[in-house]
Amino acid sequence: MAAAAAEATIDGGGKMIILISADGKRFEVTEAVASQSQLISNMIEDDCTENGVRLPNVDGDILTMVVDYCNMHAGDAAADGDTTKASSTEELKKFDAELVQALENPVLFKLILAANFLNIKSLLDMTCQRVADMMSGKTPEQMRETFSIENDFTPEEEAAIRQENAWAFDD
Amino acid sequence: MPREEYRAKRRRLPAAEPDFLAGLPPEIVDDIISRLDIRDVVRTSALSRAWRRRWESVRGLDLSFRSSGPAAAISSVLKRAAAPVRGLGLRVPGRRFRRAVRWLRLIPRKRVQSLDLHFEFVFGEKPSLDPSILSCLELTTLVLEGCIFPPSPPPPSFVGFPELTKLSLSEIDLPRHGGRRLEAMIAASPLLVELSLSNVRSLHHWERWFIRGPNLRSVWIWTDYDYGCRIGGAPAARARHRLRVGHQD
Repeated sequence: MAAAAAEATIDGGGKMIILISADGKRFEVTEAVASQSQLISNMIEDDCTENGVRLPNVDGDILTMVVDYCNMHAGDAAADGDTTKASSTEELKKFDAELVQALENPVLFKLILAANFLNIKSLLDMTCQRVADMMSGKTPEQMRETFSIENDFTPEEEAAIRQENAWAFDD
Repeated sequence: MPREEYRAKRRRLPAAEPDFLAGLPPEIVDDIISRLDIRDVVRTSALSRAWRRRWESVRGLDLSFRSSGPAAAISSVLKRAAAPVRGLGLRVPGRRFRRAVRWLRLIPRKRVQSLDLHFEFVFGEKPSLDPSILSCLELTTLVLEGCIFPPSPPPPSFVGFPELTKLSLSEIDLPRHGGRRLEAMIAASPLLVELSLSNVRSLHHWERWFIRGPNLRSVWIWTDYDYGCRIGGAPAARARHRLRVGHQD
């Protein structure tokens, strides 16, 4: 039995595991796909994925995106030479750009939390970079607007801060 | 106007969404801030009280000043930034040499990993870097232009830069015995792969010195005169007048 499982794993990570979202949606993925998550990879190593992996703080709609992402990126992680399965670099870049550009803030931030919890470094990198891109070159007003930050300075306090760092504020 | 009344007035209008960044773990916010240009980083201090000094605790900031920002601003940012600083890059105009050399003494404490200093050309006046630069043992990249280097005297504890992978020196005046000291520094930096020397001159006395490094893969030398520098002692690799010596494996 153990030998058969081991064989399946060697054969392109064929063994399947079930991920269960907070709202009970089930996703069947190969171990190779799932182990891009360091969290799940550790669980696989510790043999505790038998009854499915419950992810109590990831909603189904977010987990759908994460699974899509991991399916797309399974090729570059495994690099097992299976060129039919592995997506080309160009395709991947396009997929990533479209995925992250299209997101509204509530989804983007949930995706960051999911990537952090599941410990998927490339997805975390990409989503954090997206937020950084949304901040760069913006005035404080624009940043507040974008991320719903409440301004609790008095006008005098804010003016003083701007004065102190005038070089960073004048364009 | 009393503060409460004032705050109520400024509070966001209906259907306000939650503060997105406040919902992230602090280390993720740090990661995001560390990806920003230093001007954007400093601008976050005007967002709200919680953001006032938020950036000052972020490790791994890249302090690259595009143009010569006001000196006071640069030194204040350098003082406030948390260590380690990932990168520090700036151009120093002549009138600021003395001041810059003084606050650059902060660099070792900031554990700067990548340092790129460009002292603008002023006739007959190159600043001498403080020997404390040799205490920056976390440097991986060192790019210097328009100063006197290596500084003397080196701290007795200095043997080499253990993490340095890239060293680029241009328009540099070597002090007395500077060639030998540079030779020792290069030989004692075990990870150094890329070396570029452009017009590195010993003006006051001629000495022969050699470039040898256990991991050197790319050596690029451009010089207007033979100041005595040789690659690994091989005569074939002599630096000649206006000769670009390229040596790649």
